[in-house]
Amino acid sequence: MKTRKMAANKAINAALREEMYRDDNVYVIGEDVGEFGGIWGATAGLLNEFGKERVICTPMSEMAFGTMAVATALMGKRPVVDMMYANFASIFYESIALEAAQMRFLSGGKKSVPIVFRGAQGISGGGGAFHSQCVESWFLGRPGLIVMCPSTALDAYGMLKTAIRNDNPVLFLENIRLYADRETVPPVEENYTVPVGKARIFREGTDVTVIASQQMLKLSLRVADEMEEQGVSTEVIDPRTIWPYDIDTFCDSARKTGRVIVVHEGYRAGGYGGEYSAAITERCMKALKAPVTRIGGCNTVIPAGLLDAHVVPNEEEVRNAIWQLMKSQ
Amino acid sequence: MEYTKEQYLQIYGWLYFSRRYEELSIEYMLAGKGKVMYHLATGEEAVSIGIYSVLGEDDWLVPHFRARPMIALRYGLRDFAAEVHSRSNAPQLGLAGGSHFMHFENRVMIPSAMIGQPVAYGAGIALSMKMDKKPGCVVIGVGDGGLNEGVVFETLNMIAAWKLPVAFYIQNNSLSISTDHSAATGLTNLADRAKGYGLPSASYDGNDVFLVAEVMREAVERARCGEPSVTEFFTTRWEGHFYGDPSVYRNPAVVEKAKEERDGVKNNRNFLLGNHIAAEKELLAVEMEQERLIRDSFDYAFESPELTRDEVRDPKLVWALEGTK
Repeated sequence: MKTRKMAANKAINAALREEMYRDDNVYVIGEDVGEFGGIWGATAGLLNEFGKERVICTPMSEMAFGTMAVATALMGKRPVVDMMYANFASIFYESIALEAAQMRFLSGGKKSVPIVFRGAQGISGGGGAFHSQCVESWFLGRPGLIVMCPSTALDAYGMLKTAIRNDNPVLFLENIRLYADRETVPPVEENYTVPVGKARIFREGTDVTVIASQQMLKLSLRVADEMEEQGVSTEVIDPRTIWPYDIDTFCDSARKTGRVIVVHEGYRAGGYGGEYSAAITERCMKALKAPVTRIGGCNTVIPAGLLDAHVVPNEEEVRNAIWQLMKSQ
Repeated sequence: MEYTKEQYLQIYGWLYFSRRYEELSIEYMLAGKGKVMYHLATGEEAVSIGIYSVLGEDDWLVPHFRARPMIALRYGLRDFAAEVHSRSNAPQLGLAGGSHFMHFENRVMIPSAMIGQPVAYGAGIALSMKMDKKPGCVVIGVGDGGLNEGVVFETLNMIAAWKLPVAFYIQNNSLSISTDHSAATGLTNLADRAKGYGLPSASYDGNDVFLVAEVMREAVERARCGEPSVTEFFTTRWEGHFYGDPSVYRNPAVVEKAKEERDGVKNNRNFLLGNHIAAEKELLAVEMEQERLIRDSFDYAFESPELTRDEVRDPKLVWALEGTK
């Protein structure tokens, strides 16, 4: 068995292909998923291998094919809906949060809706105001819906497999700037998956906990390395499943360090940092040396071009927050 | 089509059932039972029953919502009454009520109360039938109001592009809650919209049950062969949008005229008597039997238990906790 080193978009492509071979009910539906292979190549080659009945190219009709896919899931299929940009979840919102997520309950708990809505989020140096939003927080707290955000190529591979096999609807948010990251992915025979609702501790530390996802995770890891040289030991945790979240791992770390920062690219106000902060505080306020710090995107419109980098958190903000928290003993 | 006497009586029975179902719903409510919102289908029975009479076992029904009596027939009378009135012995445990129902064995659903979304569910069922090469078709309905939802435009476009096995109908009672369709579209016949998708379409009187049945039988047969179409039926809503709606937006003379001239139940009864197909006492016997069936289902529902607070809040109802497949 040989391991494979691949970019995240290829890892997603491999996960889709392997799941489609494993289960005939898995199919892909979305705009430009056919010969084009999706605008980041995530569905490249699937049309040739599985045919147009399992790689369904739609017109630009998000409102309708989102819910059509939900219906096929109720009928026993396992659709993977390609939203292209996660930002378009604004149009898919009904299908994801109200249709897919509520159907199990409305069926009296008898039917499940095994569907994945996947899309790429975050700034990309030019996406602008309608193609760059991070959308996790739009869906936070929705009953019946799992929200997953992989931060590495390996996690993208393992988490997408989990999402497809899970009987709940999953909103699977990739990150545009993640696609080029290369990482070793185990061979298909290993059947590698990542459990739902399990955070990953990327870096152990004793002084401060940083909870961060996707680009903010990478940024936080760089800051953590730098802080180590300054004598501050930083623990960095990737929530991976944003909702429902791994409060146990967060609190174990909070009890150890007493200082917690949540960093996300999406807006600070109304972001999941607020929810995590409240939940951590409720569980282990006595262990905290200071209130949980939230760092998030600036509450403004995402500008065009490379200006977009100015409205998301940078290393300096994380570094300053750590120093600020370190003042609390 | 030629009907046997049994078939004539069956169709009249379903029509009478539909009228009486709504009347008794209100009677029970006024007696303090079943405080739910009723979107009464009185005046529109012939559309429902014409369609219901041509459905085959393999066909799915995703109807316009103003068709509760037909839905009850397809879903199962006792089960539907229990579901509408939130009873725990109902198939969906009473969690869905009468507006979000789905019955997979009996092939009927309106899972969402977001007007227009059920049309996409219907097309999704048709897509899965096509993928699995299963026989049958999906009869999808929408009102003249719902037809203006964006999701319906998108779905009809895909039904046409992918030749999904769909017989689509429009139940045009000319009112979208209070808005007359002449104020909501530039069309006279809404079926004309189908041309824009490349679908064949036609408009008919929806108060003649035999005409509805004839037209829909053909539409269903075509749909089963992957030839979708759109059929519009003109009808009249006798009541407000919901029971208790004072209908201030409407000229009551329109309803009086419809009751006088276009009553699909009364006209069918007169047809059977006038053509000596059935005698008065035979029709009375049919009516008594339908009355009994309705009362039996309602009484069953009101004697049934409800979920407790803890049961309603059970996370297993929302989340599939059994792991991954």
